[in-house]
Amino acid sequence: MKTRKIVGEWYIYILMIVIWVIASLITPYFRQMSVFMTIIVFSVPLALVALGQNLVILTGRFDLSVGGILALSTVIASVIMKNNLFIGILFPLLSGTVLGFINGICVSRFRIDSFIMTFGMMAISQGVGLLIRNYPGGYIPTGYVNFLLKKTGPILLTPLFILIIVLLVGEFVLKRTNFGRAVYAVGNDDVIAYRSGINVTLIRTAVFTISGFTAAIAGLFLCAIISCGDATVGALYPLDSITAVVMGGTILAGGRGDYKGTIGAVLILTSLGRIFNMAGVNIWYTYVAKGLLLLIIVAIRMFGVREEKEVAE
Amino acid sequence: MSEILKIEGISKFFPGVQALNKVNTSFSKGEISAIVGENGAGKSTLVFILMGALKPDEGKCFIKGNEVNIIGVHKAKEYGIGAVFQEPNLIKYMSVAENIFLGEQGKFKHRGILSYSKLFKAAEEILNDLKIEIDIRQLAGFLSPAQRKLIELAKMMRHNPKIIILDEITAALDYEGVAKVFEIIRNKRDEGKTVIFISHRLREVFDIADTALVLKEGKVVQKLELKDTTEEGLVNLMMGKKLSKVFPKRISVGRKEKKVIFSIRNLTTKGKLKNINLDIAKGEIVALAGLRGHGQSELLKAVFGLVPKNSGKIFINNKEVIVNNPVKAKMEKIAFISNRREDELCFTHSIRRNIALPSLGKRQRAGFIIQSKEKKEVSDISSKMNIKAPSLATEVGNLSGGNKQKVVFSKWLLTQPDLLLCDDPAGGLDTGAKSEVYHILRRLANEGKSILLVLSDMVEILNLPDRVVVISEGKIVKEFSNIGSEDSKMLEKKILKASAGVT
Amino acid sequence: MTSIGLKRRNINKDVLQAIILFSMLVVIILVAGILKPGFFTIKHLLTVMHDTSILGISAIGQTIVILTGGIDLSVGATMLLADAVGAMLLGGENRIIPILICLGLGLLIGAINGAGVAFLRIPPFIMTLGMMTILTGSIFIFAKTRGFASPILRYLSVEKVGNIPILIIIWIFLTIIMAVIMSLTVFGRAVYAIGSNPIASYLSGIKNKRVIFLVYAISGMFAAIAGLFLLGYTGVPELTYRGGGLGSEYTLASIAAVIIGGTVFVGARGGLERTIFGVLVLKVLFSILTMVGIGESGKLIAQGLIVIVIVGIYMRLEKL
Repeated sequence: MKTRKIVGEWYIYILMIVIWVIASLITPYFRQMSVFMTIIVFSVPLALVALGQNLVILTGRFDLSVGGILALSTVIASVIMKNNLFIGILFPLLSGTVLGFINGICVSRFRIDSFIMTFGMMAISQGVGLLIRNYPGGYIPTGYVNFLLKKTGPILLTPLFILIIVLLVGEFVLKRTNFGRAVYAVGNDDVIAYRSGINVTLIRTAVFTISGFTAAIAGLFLCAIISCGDATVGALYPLDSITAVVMGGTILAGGRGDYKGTIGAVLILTSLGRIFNMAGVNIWYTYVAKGLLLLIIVAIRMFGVREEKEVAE
Repeated sequence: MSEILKIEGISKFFPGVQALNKVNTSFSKGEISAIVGENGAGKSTLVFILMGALKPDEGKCFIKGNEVNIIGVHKAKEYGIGAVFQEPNLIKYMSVAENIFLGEQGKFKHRGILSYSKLFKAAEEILNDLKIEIDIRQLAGFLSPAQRKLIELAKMMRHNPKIIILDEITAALDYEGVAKVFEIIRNKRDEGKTVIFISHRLREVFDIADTALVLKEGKVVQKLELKDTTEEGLVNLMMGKKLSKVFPKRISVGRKEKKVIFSIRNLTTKGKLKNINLDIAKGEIVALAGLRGHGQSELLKAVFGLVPKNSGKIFINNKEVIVNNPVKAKMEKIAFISNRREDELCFTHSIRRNIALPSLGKRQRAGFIIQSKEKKEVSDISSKMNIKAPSLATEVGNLSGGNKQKVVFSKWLLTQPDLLLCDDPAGGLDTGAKSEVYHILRRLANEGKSILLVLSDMVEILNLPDRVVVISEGKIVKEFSNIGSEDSKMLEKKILKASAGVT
Repeated sequence: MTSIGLKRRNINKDVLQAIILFSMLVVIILVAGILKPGFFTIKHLLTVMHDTSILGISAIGQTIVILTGGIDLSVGATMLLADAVGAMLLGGENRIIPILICLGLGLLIGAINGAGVAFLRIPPFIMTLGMMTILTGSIFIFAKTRGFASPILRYLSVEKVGNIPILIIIWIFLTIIMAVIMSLTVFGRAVYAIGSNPIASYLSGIKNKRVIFLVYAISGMFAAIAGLFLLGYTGVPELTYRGGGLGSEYTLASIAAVIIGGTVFVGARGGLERTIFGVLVLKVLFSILTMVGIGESGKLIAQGLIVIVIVGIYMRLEKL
């Protein structure tokens, strides 16, 4: 029983290690530190986006607009940063937070379905991004890039550091703060949460605002990697982040799950591309693998849910 | 006794309805007051206003003589009003302790970090205080209905409210659970709290309450001391109808020539049921009684194919049938009416679509619905059932509870069932609608249908069925065949004894 | 609850939604007519509808999936797969087998979606998201050689009968067939019942799983049909990878059209006739934006805004 519980909670990391071991057996290149570092670097933006997404999904909603917000953030940064680094960081964050807040208000106060609201916001934010910058370009200061992606020996300290901090913050907020517990309560049953004195509207608004904010941070990190602003760079993020959150064990209906699983899934998703690349397989197989992995994991979990349901009734 | 809560001239309008019309009343310290009335009399509206979940259109509230404005559940909490709502109010996937302090876990901190050990300790204290023995680390989803209500009581007590509002707290409970809840309520009254108690079960109102506030059509009919009146008298006040008329007369003719059409043999399920044997005759109403959650509902579900059977056989007219899903059940002319009306109806669809749903297959040609036939059958059955609605295109969600239940009956009757399984068919309805449901059931029985009910209200058990079967711990422990002829007080005692497992 | 309240509610929702949708379309067309005088000619309106037909066909399947309370994110990817595979196998010749293979492929993809949702109980969003990802990869792995549409396919997609493009007739014809099925058959009733309350329909003896399975299979088939006509319309397969976001712009547009049409996510009202209007509103709006010289960015913003605003309006109506 106890081992089953542990496996249930950490299965994604077990899977990750299995995948990594297989990969390093197949291709010796995979054992290099630099490959690991690439995975870490590309995991950071997805992990950040997935943090916000995780909060939103825990309340039983979606955020499809994270990709647009992230892309908009890179675009704004690429326009402003050359003049003033501080404002160049502040404005993308501000835009993400405001758009997230609008999502939140519309979903919580005006009760627009979150799928539709963020679906609309996804189009709007991407449209605004394209309006500002039709083609990838702009200038990201070298100092800024160096700060984020500087190598200390073979190790890139900043991304590793950011990833660990994000993981700890995410877990701490969810498990050990009133806000985190309220997020779970709202996701399980918002009527009960309301009657227990939780301000449901506030919590819902907050999670969407945070999701916009983390997407904007992700954009700031991503523009250092790609060294430009690109209004279409976010296209895969909404679905990848939802994939990561769901693979990591969070229930789409809300109320159950955590962030550490999501991080494990993020690492797996970003590894897949690298592994296929190293093994010399057509890169499009990554997509097939991603899709299959998601479906298999969810399908297996659905069997578990069925058992649980019988027990609970 | 001193007055603590007073309301003056409270009114509330809903589109097309005046739910409350200038209600004046007061509640005293150390008193249990019941609010009674039919559904639609304004009970829930009044309760929701006191809980801060609804804003009155006019009128004032006074607590200890000071005018207060209760808007929002938080505000009610500040004024020392605590409430247990009718619907379940616990989060299944959180521990009991976290549920008790839901929304306030942040109060329990150790060096700024949420401390679960402190939280558990505080929760334990509350439970000890109420003399409730439940493991606080357990997930709330694993609790029994009775345990859940106790935890909800405990959750309300976390703020130590002066005024306690209990809305239909006993609705999902059996006799035992009710007793435990009542014990807690009495203790709280003796501590000097004010308790406002709402229940449809008049027997309970007389058991627990000191006074009763009778509402009718949004107005106060009377506030009276319960020791000065009888059940009959209270019903008369509520609806101006005599209790004896609420239940239909049993016709004993049919029962002489008993023709068993439906039998269960040695039925055992994965869940609670063990070795059930039961016969039901044509035109007979059989009620399953006993403590809630001991397998009565499960028996209905097993017969309808919703619960997997481990062993056992079901015979209809001496022919064995295998029913393992609702589709097969329908084919064998079995109908099932769940106690959750929201599971029976598509609220966003019209009456016609809802009634036609289970019997669609009977009126089709190559997959296409024969519209004229459907229209005729639906309108015939709805006028027979006396469904009150502007038209058959009305959305079911807009109907009253009684009419919704009539739609449910109609839709199943169109499948022309021989056996009707009903789980608490009159639950949550007002007395008028209840009476209509009882009459429908009796009429169907007289037409030759066999009916198997799950009932939990003792008044119903004593007055509605032809035969009562008591189930305890998944087994049939006793049968009472001559319900009509026995003295009801004696019978009630016997049924209670059997339910508790004393034979 | 009095009868007064009841009557008012009944008239409002459905009729008002339809009126708003229709008047919106009229206003948009009027605006277009003012901006460009030639817009009002029958010929031009037909051209706009011609452009809309492929989206319209793909939205048929999406509509019935959304009616059951689900969603199909793989519509766009299925379309592109049929597009690519069709071109590869046809190679510019009139052959029936490749067409059947494409339709079968669509049906199969839909059936797998349906099996995942109905029998494995994977949430529709996840199931079709996974399928979309798999298909996106597969298209680029397997569709190596490019081909051409067959002449007949090309004829059906491009040519006109009199003044009316054949594709419009096909679109309207398919919509009518599906609308008839939805409103007059036992299957249609079951779809609506599941969308409104799956437990109630299960307890009423409806075979929920079978119906849900069929709904996704049908959606897959309509996506494949749309994909084939897309091939016919453009002549060569559309093998460009555009960011790959939500399946592709076709998925997005099909969902947007259904939402604008007013088929609500929960509650199972609305239907195919509404989706026609939704598709038209979206496309006419796009053609106006193109006309006044607003590019891709403006279209995205407009699509986002209109979806949010119209849902806001519908929700006000629900509360009346």
